[in-house]
Formats: sequence, C-alpha cells, structure tokens
Amino acid sequence: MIRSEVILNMLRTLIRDLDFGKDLHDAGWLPLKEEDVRNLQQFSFCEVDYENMRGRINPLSKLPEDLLLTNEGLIFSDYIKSVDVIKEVYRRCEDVKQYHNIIASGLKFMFQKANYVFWEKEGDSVPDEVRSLILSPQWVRASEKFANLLTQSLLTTIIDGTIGEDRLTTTQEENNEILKIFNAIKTQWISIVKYFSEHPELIEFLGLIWFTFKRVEENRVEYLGARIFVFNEVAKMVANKKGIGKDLLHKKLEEMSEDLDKLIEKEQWGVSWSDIFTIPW
Amino acid sequence: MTSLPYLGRQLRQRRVPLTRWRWPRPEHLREEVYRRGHPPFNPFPNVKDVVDAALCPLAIFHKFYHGLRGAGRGLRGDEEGIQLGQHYHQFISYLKTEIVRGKRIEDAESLLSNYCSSQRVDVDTESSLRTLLRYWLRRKRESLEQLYERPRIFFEVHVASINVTFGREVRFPLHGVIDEIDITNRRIIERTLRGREDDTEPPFLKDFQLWLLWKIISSIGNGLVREVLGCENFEDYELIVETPYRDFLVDKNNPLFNELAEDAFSWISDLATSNNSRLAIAINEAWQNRGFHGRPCRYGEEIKECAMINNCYYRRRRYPERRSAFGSDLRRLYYALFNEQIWRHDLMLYQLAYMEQHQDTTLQRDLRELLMGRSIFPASIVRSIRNEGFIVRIDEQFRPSLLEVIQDEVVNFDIIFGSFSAGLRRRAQLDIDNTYSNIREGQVFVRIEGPTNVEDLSVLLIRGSLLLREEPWFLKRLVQQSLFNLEKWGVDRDERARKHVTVRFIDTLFGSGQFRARVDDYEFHQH
Repeated sequence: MIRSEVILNMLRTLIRDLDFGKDLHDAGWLPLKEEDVRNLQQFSFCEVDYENMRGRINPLSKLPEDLLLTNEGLIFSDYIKSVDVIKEVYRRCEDVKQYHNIIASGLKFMFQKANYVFWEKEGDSVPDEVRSLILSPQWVRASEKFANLLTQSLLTTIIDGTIGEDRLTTTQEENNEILKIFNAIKTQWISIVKYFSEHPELIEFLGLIWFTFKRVEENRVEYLGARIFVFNEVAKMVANKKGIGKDLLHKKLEEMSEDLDKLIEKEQWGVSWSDIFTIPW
Repeated sequence: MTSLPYLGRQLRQRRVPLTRWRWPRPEHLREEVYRRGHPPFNPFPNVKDVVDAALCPLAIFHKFYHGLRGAGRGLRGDEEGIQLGQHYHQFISYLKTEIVRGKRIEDAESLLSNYCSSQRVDVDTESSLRTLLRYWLRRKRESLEQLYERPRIFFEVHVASINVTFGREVRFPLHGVIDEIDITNRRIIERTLRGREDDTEPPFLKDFQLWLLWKIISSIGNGLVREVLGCENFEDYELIVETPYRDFLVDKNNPLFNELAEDAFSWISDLATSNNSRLAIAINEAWQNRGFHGRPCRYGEEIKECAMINNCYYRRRRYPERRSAFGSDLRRLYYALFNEQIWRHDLMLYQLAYMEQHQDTTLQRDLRELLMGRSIFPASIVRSIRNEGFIVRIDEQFRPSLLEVIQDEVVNFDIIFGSFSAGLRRRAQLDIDNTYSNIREGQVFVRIEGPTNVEDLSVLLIRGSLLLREEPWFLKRLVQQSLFNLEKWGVDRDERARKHVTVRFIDTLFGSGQFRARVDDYEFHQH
C-alpha cells in the first residue's frame, strides 16, 4: 500500500505544486475517493481533509524508507532538505552577528569556487611576476589564498565598516607573491569594492546565496526545482530586508556583470570580475 | 490549418521581445580578436533550435549546455523513428528524381527495394517504408504524373539569412534545410512521418517549422537565390506540411507564429548570454516556464512529444552521494564547452552569411579572402557521372591549399551547389584516387549522396563532414553529453556503491575534508 498509486500520486502532486512555487503549507492536496480516504488513515505521514475529501503527504512528517527510495521520494526529500536549509538561514539571519557570519562564509565560498580569468589588452601588459604565478601549476593552490585575501579585504572594507563586526584571520600567512598580485590589481579592486559599497543588497545576496548553496550541496540536494526554490527564497529574503522588490533585485543582479566589466574597461590588464561575482545554479 | 489553433490559458510568461540581437562585431568576423571567454555575440540558431525553444525553454538550456539533441526529436518518436523518417524523406526525393528521369510510377515499389538494398536498410524498416509509401502513393499518383513534364523541384535546400524579421524591425539570424521546393507548382514542402490518418491538423509545431523556413527564404535577396531557384517571389508560395496520409496547407499569416518566434529568440538570447548572473536568472525563469504555451510540463504530466523529459526528471540514483557538489563543479565545464562551440561553429556561420549578405562590400571581400582556401573551396562542375557524382574543378588559386588539406587527413566535405544563403546541400566524398581525378589539374571526382540536378551551378566545398563541421566543434557536444550522463549516473545498492571505484572517487573528491586522502596519511602508511 505504501507504494500504492494513490500515495505516489500525492507525492507527485506535492512535487508539481512545489515546482510551481506553491507554498509548502498549501501544496500537495489531491482530491480522493472515499475508499482512498479510509485507507490513508493508517499512515501517519498522510494528511486528510475530510471536509473537501482530499489528502496529501504531510511535508513535515518523516516518510518511510521504502517510499523515500522511489524517484518521487528522492525529489520530495530534496525539497524538504531545501526548506530546512532556508529555515536555518532565516533563523540565523535573525541575529545580526550571525547574518554577517553567513555573508562572510558565503563570499569566501564564492571566491574559492571562482574562476580567476586574467586578461590583457595587448601582449606583455601583465607584469612578469604576476604572469609567472598565474600560469604556473602552483596557481591552483595559490588561488585559494588569493580567495581568502579577497574575502577579507571585501569584508573589512565594506561589511565590517557598515554592518559587520567580525574580522577574518589576518593576512600574515599569505605569501608575498599573492600580495604582489593583489597590489598590482589594487586600483581595480578599489573600484569593485566601491561599487559593492554602493549596492550592499548585491553583496548581501551573493553572500547569502553562496552560503545557502554550500548548505544545499552539503545536504546533497540535486533536483533543479529544489535548487531554484532556494534561489527564489534567498532573493525574497534579501529583497524584503532591503525593502526592494524581487524583480528590481533580479534586474540589479542582471546588470551587475556588465557594471563590473565597465568599471575596469580602461585598464590594460586585469581579472575578469564578472567571472568571480557570479550566482550559483 | 495550424497545429496551434488555440494555445489555451497562457501558463508560460511571455518573454520581453528583444530590442536587438547580439551580432558579432566586424573584428570578430575578421578574426582580429583572440577567441577567449564568453563570446560577445549570440549563437546563429537553426530552425530546430527555435522550434525547441518554442516547445520548452528548458529544452534549449539542455541543448546548449548538456549537448543534447533537439527536443523536437521526441516528436518523431525514438531513434528508430528518426531513421525511418530520414529514409522516408530520402526515398521520396529519390523516387521523384527517378520519375523525372523517365521511370514509371508503377516502378515505385521496385525502386524502394533498390533504395533499401543500396542503403542497407533492415527488413523491418523496409517493411514500414513500404506501408508508408503505399499510403503516400494512393494520394500522390496524380501529382507524380505531372513529373513527366519535368517540373523544377529541389530537395534539401539549405537556406540561411541574417535578415529574418517577425513583424518588427528587429533582425535575427536563422538557418535551416527545406525538404522540398517545387518551383513549378509554387510550393514549399515539409515532409514528416508524424501524424495519423484521421488527423485534421498538421503535426504539432511542424507548421511553425515550415513557416520559419519560409521566413528565411523570403528574407534572402533575389541575387543570392537566383542561381539555384531562379527569380522567384517566395512570398506567394504555398506552404504544405505533408504526412503520408494528408497534406496540410499552412496559414502564413497566423499571428501566433510571430509571437512564438519572438519568444523563442528571446529565450535563446537569454540562455546563451555571456552574463553569468543573467544566465542563472534565465535558468530559474526557464524552469518556471517549462513546457509549451498553454501546455505546461509538470512532474508526472510531461509533454509527451518532448525528447528531453528524461533529462529534466531523470531517474535518481542514491550514489554517489556527493553528486550535488560534483554537478556544481561540472557547470563551468558545460559553460566553457558551449562557448567554444559558439566561437568555432556559430562564428563561421556568421562569417559565411555576412560574406554573402552584408551591405558592407569591404567586409564581404575581407571575409571571402579569409575563408576561401581555408574552410571553403570554390569550384565548378566539369561533368556529371550519372548516379555517382561529379567531376569538379577547383579554382586555381585554391588548389595548393586543397592539396595540403587532402594530404593532411581523411577529409569529408559538404558540398553546396549555389550559395551558402540558398543552395543545395549534399554530403560529398572527394575521391582523389579515382581515374577521373587529377589533383594537379585541380580536377577531383566527388561522390554525392542524394539526388542532384545541378549541372550549371557553382559549387562550394566546405571542409568537414556534415554541414559546416569545419572544425570538430561537435565533439564538444559529445563531451557535454558525456558529462551530463556522468552527472546523472549512479548506483542504488549500498554494497555496490561501497566497492565502485567511480562512486568512491566522486564522493571522496567532492566530499567534506575528512574523506580526502591526505599526504600525512599516505606517509604514515608508508612507514
């Protein structure tokens, strides 16, 4: 019975509703026959609305292992895990200090995952010491340190001054070569930091979305619909916090890459910042 | 008649129509800019891309980033159905050509046997073809008799334009292949195996596909069409979707087609964007708008005609457990592989189209100098060898480079009779060892697949096998497909997962730090 067509249909309905953005509390109701309603009473994971003769899988209940192993069960559990991640983020965001920690952690993850693409307008524009490092195999490891440096710089300059108190560890362990790259791109980095100081909603969104996606990955959420659910919830959260519409936030995010490219278009060489400040999907 | 009489409640949000297509700049076309990163221009879509984007925006997402073949494939059924369709189409063109050459209509079935044995068609496919042919012949006897008067009919006409419009001033690039153009009876035919005997409407989206092809040919200047098709005004042509059971006349003025096309191009542009943030938002929106207008695609209630169902809602496996992190890392590879395809393949399509159609004659000349002798080799027909091919003479200045190309590797060519904008596309094999060939004199024997009637036309040999595969850009698609299959792949049984090298490898590599092998562990075990 657990794998019966009625139960699987209820799971499918729940998935379909969540796919189309329906609230978890209203999602998944399926009109049922009287006989089905009677049968469902034996299952604690089902909810029945006797008045309207409909039933659904209770999204807050624990599904039996047998059902969880079906394709529907796996997708359902991806959604539930996403909902849990979002709840966790909401809970932690209530505390200002934790909110800043989350943003810091998300940005760090973004910088670590980033693709550091260096470009130059004409040959030999990139200083030799920078070129030799970024073209060397050591760059794979060095880029991690570079990511730490960027996170720290961004946070101390933007977030620390405006909304944060926490500082990351100092840069004393960073080696000189990394600092050389950082110093070489300092002018463009200052423009980037200035841009984000003027658009704090963007940096907060990036921090939150990357943190949330890190949690999504840790929780092994795979289903695209569940990942998109997370994306939309984070956008909603930041939009509410900043008092702007979700559409406006989307528009600003869409313009972000081009804005970043424009900021450094006069430089002779540099890093492709639009490949670093990205949105995960 | 239309396959889309009523779209129903619009469940797909209408895309904002594009105000401008992102075209390549002259320096990209002239290859003065190093190809790197995201191409600053959109792909050069073909008609099937537009139909796929109209069918479902997620289909075009899978096509671009996961290297999957078109969603429209599902409209034809499985792989067998596709092969059957190809044979059916090839045989009809072969039959018509043979009748023009003097064969009797009564010989149709024996011609089918000849065709099947020459193409090594299996018995089941031959039997299906015979049944379909009988249906078709029942209706077509009269029109086949007209073939004795030697009408002008062309099969497999490749058309490409950079000036396609859909009721507004915004121009779009588009290319595709028209199944049949019947100049004598002034009609363009899209042949398909889809549909049933009792259908009253053309098969789903086939009318839209044909309409797009008609839009392309109508937008090409007369000078480019004239060589092959003569001075024709295609605006007046009838559009026919032909199934084995019925012909459907398509209403060219259906306003829905313009809307569908504009919407599809917007999706193509947004999903091919070079802007990372925009792409993430576009994928989000594509997911929320998946399915056709008025026919949403939902879990357990998918659009049956879509070949990509299994890629949106694929069977989930329990292991590897770190598939989510693994998939995230693969994304940048998908993206990079897609960029490479645009730089290599789509840019070449733009170059060829601009070379013939752009108003700037200097740019046209520059592109001709750039491409001739490298990717394309102009030639002329010396003589036709019946049922086998042609002897062609390569222009003198390009002989050395062709000679070099031929010595380099086993090279297949596409041959276009006429122009890239409007020409007869055939697969060609250069047989340099043939007695007719004399490479020093620039004379090569070319074997051609499919019927030809092209004695007086100019010839363009395009390097690569299959149309415009000048460089192996299509291998990138295979890599994308393989990566996506790997992302979906997995096992369910605990026991097997524990021993499976690939599962262990992925879980270790993409797992949390504690799973990773550390140097000190290794050293510890060494001691």
